[in-house]
Amino acid sequence: MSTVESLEALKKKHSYKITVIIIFGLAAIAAFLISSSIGALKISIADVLRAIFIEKEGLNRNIIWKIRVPRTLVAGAVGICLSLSGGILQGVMRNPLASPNIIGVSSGAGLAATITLVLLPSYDYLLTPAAFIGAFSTTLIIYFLSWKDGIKPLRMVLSGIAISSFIGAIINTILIFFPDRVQNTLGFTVGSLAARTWSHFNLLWPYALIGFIFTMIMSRKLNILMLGDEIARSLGLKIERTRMILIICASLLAASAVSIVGMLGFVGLIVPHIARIIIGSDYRYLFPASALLGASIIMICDTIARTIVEPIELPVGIIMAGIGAPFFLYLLRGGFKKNAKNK
Amino acid sequence: MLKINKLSMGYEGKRILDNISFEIEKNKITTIIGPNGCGKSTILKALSKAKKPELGEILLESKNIYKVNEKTLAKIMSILPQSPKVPDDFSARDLVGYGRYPYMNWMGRLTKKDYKIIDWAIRETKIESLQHRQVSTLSGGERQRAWIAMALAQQPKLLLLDEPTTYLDICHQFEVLELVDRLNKEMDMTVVMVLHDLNQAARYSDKIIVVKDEKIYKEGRPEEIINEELLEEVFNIKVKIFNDEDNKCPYFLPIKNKEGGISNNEKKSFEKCS
Repeated sequence: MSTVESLEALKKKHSYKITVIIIFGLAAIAAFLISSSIGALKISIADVLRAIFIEKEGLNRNIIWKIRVPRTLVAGAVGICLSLSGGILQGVMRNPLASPNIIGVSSGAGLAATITLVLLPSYDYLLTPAAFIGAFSTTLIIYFLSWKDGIKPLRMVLSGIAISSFIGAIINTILIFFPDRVQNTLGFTVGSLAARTWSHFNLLWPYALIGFIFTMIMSRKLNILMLGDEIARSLGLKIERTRMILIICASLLAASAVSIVGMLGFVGLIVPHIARIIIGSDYRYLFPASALLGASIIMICDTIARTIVEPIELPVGIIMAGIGAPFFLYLLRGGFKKNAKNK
Repeated sequence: MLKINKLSMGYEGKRILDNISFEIEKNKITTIIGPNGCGKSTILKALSKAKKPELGEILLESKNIYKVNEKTLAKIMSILPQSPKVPDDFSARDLVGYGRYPYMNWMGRLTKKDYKIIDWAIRETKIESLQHRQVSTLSGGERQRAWIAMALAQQPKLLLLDEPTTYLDICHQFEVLELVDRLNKEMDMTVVMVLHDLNQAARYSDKIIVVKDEKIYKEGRPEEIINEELLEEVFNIKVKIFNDEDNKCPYFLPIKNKEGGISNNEKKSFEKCS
């Protein structure tokens, strides 16, 4: 086969993947508009657009701009953070079951966030850094607990589960002793987007953006890590350093999400899997695809969560788990044999 | 080209290699042989920096490999492990493309020159017709050629292969070894392999290094060292040596021991047990 021909085949593959990413992008925009339009007061999408871009005051403007848009943006950003975090962890651990929750990153962030809320309730801005330190140190503990001549995926998942439930016990104890210090405890432990506003979004997006940029820069290195340690080393990759940077990235992303919405599960597990089935395991495409898909899924799930049993609002984590758990079971039943064999 | 100097290594206190030294000559095929657990793979692990030696040093063109920049080293030396893994949906061509990683800048874009080298590596290993197939769908021999193509895309001067013929049928074993031979003869590639099949080692190597009991037992050209005593001493088998006139190398066939099929050494160990 000539160079021209093979270059064409390559371009075709590339443009297919770019098309998928664009479709996911459009889906995210659609999810954003739908989520903004549905609620206690139904507002048409045309009115939503008018309220965002044209109107400066009025009822629609107040509802859309002050309540629904920030909440939806927080949902989207959280979706991006958790999906990327899960994608990174699945790659670094070479384990299809890795996700911020199962590996214990989320619970570590949750513990640190809970302690901050109880001890320093007035220092909002400390929440994300504290959650980050919690997430990162938990990851390190689990990483070193499972280290014996390299990382054994099963050992990593098992120690993650053990550490997670241990930390979960501590969090629950704290919550029992200081129920008044942590508002909406249920929302925090399952993940909730209720009453999230611009201040939450402003706290979240810088971390999400830095994490996203880093992730994109590291995507090729993660691809090479997927070829196994020996090959990666032979290709001149600094393995331990790359792994460490990626884990820091994953912790940062998970921590920023957890500090804002609590321990929202399943997103980090299932979104990278769905994206991988559609777009393949090349992380240069997989990361943007998972980010957009994750954002869409959380925005839609939150819309369902706040409208399904009106006027009661369910935490988004309940809807997410409702969809996530069956999917997880499908993966366990052999769905992931096809898609994630070599991890 | 590569000099191993007083190397000692072990696992959890147990010595695997004890103060061994040898040299890999430029543009030659060197094969390391020895019984299971003798430390062959450990030598390759040390050479590939997968396991740091406890004592001693490894010099690549008189520079300690642990002090050379990773990417610089990757442009000189490429290592293929025994059964490397690859995500299911990577095509053979994707894989070969990763061989260009040490040459990429931080943007990670492939240049025209990179594409030319990828095409060249694909041609040399004769995987043109397979290049767009997923590596996971290739047969063992095809897959091994794809991996060698990736190593070639690194444009190394030194190629390290850990049992490149394991799990392959005889035809594919032959194919891979012929390819290695051609890379050596036509591109002056220096090759170091670990092989299990001693006849293949004798046929394709310029030099054989025999490892036994934590030490280098013997090293030299195949016709110098492949003989009845060595095989009895190191591998515990009685053999008859023949000469392959066409390929100008020795080969052997195992023969039945007169005292019932087991060698004297084994008999001794049986007696110890009972």
